[in-house]
Amino acid sequence: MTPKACKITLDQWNKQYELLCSSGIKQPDYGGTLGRHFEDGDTRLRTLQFDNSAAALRLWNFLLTENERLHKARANGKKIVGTMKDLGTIPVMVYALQNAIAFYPDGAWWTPCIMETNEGLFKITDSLGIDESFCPVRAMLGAFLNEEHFPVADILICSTGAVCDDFSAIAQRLESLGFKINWWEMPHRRKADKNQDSINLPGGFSTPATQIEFVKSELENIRSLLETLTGEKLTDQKLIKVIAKANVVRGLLAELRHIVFTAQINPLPALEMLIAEMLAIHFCSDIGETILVLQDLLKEAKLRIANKEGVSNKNAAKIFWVNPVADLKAMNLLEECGGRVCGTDYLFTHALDTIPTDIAPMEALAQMALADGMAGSSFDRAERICQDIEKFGSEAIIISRIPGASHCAIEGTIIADIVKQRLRIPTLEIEIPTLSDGLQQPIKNRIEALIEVVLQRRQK
Amino acid sequence: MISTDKNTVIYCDPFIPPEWIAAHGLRPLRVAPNISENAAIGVCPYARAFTNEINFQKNVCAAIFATTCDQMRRSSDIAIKNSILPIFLMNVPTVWQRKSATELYAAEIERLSRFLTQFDAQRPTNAKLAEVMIDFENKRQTQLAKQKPTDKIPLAIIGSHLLKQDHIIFDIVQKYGGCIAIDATTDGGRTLPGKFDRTQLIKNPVKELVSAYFETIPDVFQRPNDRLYDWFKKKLNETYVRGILFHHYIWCDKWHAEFGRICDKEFTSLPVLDISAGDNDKNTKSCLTTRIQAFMEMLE
Repeated sequence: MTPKACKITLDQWNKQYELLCSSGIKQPDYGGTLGRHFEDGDTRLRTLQFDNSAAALRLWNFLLTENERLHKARANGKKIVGTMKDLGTIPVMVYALQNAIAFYPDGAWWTPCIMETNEGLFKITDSLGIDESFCPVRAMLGAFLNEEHFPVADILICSTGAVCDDFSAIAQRLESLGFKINWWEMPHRRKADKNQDSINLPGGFSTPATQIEFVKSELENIRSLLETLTGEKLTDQKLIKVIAKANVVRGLLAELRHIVFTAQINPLPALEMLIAEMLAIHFCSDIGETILVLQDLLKEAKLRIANKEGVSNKNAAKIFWVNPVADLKAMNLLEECGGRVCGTDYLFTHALDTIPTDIAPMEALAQMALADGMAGSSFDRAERICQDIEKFGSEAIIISRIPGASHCAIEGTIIADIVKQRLRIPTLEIEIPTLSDGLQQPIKNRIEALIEVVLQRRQK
Repeated sequence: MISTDKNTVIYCDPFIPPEWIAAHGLRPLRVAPNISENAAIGVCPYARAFTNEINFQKNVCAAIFATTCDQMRRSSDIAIKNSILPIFLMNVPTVWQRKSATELYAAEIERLSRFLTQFDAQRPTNAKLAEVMIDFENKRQTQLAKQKPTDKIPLAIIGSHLLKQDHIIFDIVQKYGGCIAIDATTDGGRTLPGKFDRTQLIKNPVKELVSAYFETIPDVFQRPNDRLYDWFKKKLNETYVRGILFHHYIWCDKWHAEFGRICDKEFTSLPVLDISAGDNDKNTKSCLTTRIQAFMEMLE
């Protein structure tokens, strides 16, 4: 049974679940109703609108059972690697090993949203002087201390240098509280000087060859650390194999993004697409299952496109969305206002690009790390956004600011100015707090105004 | 090569060696910027002020930013966009325990040299550089020798850069019976380079410069930043102080996050006063005065 595409509430999902079960749907071992996550404390789910497909159910269940997966891995004797900040590179190295599993403690930044702050993580960080002037990623610090949201990692590996100050400062505070961190340097990416060899990176940026050499040497240190931790040799052959697998994930996402963002009728909601993109960062602790989850989503999207059905009005304004939202509900809000997401830069575009396979694997990974949009200038990031806007035909851009984040205030203005000048499309900056309910009306008003402008421009 | 009668290179970061600029025949100008209007939510007042300041100093041919904080790194983009000056962004590594980090810093020093040679400047010979380094070091020593002990209540101040207006903190402390015995702000004694090894200076002055700056100066942005705490602890042990002022700007995450650690009784039993500074707030000065006055009364 394939229900007609629409968005449904959590209560509706519980009923839909029974229908799916009676139709004989096969579920993975982490499957079940979405309602059980609500019962476990993920109360924000009650306020969200979900896609009604079995593929979306699988996606949500996969996401919301990661903690169980990590504990299970530990019980099975695997080493747990906490990778922090780089968003996409170190996990590829970890998954090359038989006996290790990687996750991002950074992901705890969504916990206060999902649990509507009932879990008390911000209270813990407040007590350490890490208050609301910091990005919501401060929740990570609380999660380390109360040990309720992820297991204590066997090793922590964190990128530093050209990263946001919030994260770096919070990670340093964490280390001062006794959590040993292995830091690796991400230099500020720049263009090569006249006398230097310039290397083109995946995603379109370029950098001097010397910077790649430097990052490669940093990654070699990490290779040694991982080998010592697991007692297993991390050979180039193993890396080549895992890169191929990571590229399957990235390829599926590239196809999914392309067909969803360019479809006449939006086949999948922005919220599920955001979560699907997130899987690329560390595969939600299971690379094989990530591939299956994405294949299901892709199949569903293709079916809906073929049937000319979707989850948004066919006239929905095509919006390019910049930065992840602290409150997942914002993605629903855009669609409620008459928009759809057609293009994204959620701060990890480098985790979506194909990893080069025609060069040595460590060099390829160094290139991927340097391709991080956050590691270079805001002009670089704006340039890539402009290219993607043209590729997906987005009609406007929303730059969502992350409360307190060190990069947003300056970078947002630069990106907006460049997009306006280059493409002459409407731009909007909004700040999305962890729980946006109190600000929902003003946020909605601003998005609606943007969408009205987009629709008017179509008639001119 | 850009021919110009302007020969001043403006900067504010302690990891940019003025000796290096001076040895190229240019005038290094490290500024404490004036606070700028048009506060913006989320933007560090100091980063905004410095970005603004570079356009108002006379005879400036270039400005140098550093990557030591994210806001300053990104402010260099604003400067590139809004200023007519050539801008150099120097990559200062945050890790410091590996040789590769020192080499990266040294490479940046060389890149800075190539940048400076645009302005009727020449890369210095080793002899010239050594001469300039000795001259700068002598001036620093003379300056330090002028500081005399007083009978006032000694305090330490630790934290970020200071805007020109914020130097009033020193006056307020003095007015209420105190003195700053340890200046561990980014503009104070903490960020002075290490003493040059005269033998090494002759052999390889660039290497000595790198060592005195990158390998010596303790700062909050370094990962890990233990060097900062080791330095401060040593200073607190050497110098009798009765209390600590902790200064940071609103939106400065790197310093702000350290307040809890500085206050921690495992680090010090001394009282710590948070004198965080906001944007161009008219109440800031009176609030600051009252807080410092109360702190001094408590210490009397």
